[in-house]
Amino acid sequence: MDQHTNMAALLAACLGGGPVAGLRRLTGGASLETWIFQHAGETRILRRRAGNAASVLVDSLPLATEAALLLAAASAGVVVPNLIHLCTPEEGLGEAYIMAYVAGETLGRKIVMGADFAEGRNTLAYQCGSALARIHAIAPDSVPSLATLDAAETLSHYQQIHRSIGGARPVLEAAFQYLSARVPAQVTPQLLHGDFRTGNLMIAPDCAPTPGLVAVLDWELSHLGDPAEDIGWLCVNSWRFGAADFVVGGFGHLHDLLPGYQHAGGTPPPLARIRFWHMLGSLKWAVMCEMMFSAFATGADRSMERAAIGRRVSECEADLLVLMEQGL
Amino acid sequence: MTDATSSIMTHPTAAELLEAVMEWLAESQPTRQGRDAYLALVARNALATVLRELQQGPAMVSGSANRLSDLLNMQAEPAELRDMLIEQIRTGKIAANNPALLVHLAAETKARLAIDQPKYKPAP
Repeated sequence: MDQHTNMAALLAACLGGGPVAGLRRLTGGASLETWIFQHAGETRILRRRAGNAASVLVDSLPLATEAALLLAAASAGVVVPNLIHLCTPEEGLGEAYIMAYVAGETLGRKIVMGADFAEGRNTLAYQCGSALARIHAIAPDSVPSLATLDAAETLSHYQQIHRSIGGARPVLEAAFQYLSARVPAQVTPQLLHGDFRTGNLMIAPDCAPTPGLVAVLDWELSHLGDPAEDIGWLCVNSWRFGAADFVVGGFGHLHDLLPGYQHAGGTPPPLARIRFWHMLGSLKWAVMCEMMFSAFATGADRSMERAAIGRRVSECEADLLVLMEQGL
Repeated sequence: MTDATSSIMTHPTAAELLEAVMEWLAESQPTRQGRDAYLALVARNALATVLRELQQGPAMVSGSANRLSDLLNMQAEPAELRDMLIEQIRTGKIAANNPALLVHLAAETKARLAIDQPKYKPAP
């Protein structure tokens, strides 16, 4: 049996029988794979950790935790794919879960530029604000234990990584110093998505029955922290995909997002805190690019994409300089 | 256009070789689908970056060296000057938002971005 036939048989078994068809891999680096397939008339998605590969992003969560977060988010009224099945080791698929397929678009450029999303873009920031408020309201003790990272810890964590694996980059050094001198006061840690940005949001086009935000994906960086972190992260220019004037995700503004946040029961964080986390977000993305390049350089994931992404650090540097010149 | 070694290495120059491979990747793109098509685009972008670096790299390095010498008021190898600058920022000898530092870093970053991602729009 080839790998696909074997996997299809294992999937069918853990879904209680019935044929599995059209199994193919969608994306994935060395650590996390996403597969799509048909079963019992429905399209399903398999998320699966490759056997022995170490995760490139050191902070990513076990898939069982990710599955638990999907359930908690659904109960809190956040749009997420339905969890269909959390795989057990005996089922032979490794660390994995199966979820429903949600139709829509995740490609940033299409979402921020595409004519078929033009109408939806007007309300997308508001919808994101509502979703974030609902995520932040999830009680941390209702989900598996997550790490807590405040601003100072986040800075020192990424500074340490940068100094151990990164390049000699004066701009990043200046950004670390600048932010370290401006760490905001601590707040009660709340549940954060951790990677809430264009690219990880499934958006349905204007012609769909439910246009706009239809699923919040990729919960693998979820942790506890300052709610301003999730909002600031969505403002990082790297996911505006050329629509740089639209601070929120390339499609909206904070004055659209924050009313959505408030309307869903959240207390919007002060703009100064959001701006701090926005700048720290650009710095984090620079270090994450260094981490992904490092996976290539060390041989852990010798793929062309990992090599090429190292050259995205300069985009973060350009954005960091603008933010430092404007001041926090 | 001249590039890093084109005064000696010709017929073809390194840039011409790269252009030939990039043109082949572009011409054969319709034959690829799915992940292969995506990876071929990544490959073309990577080669385009190398081509720009061949062409712009020498001026970028000498510009960087001159700016660093002016900023730190001393002469040394560019990489050595850069490491000294990092050390001064790290120890607070130069404030992270020192205006002269920011002007220097903006010039550096503009030159890097012109090689890495000329179409990237920095935050307004």
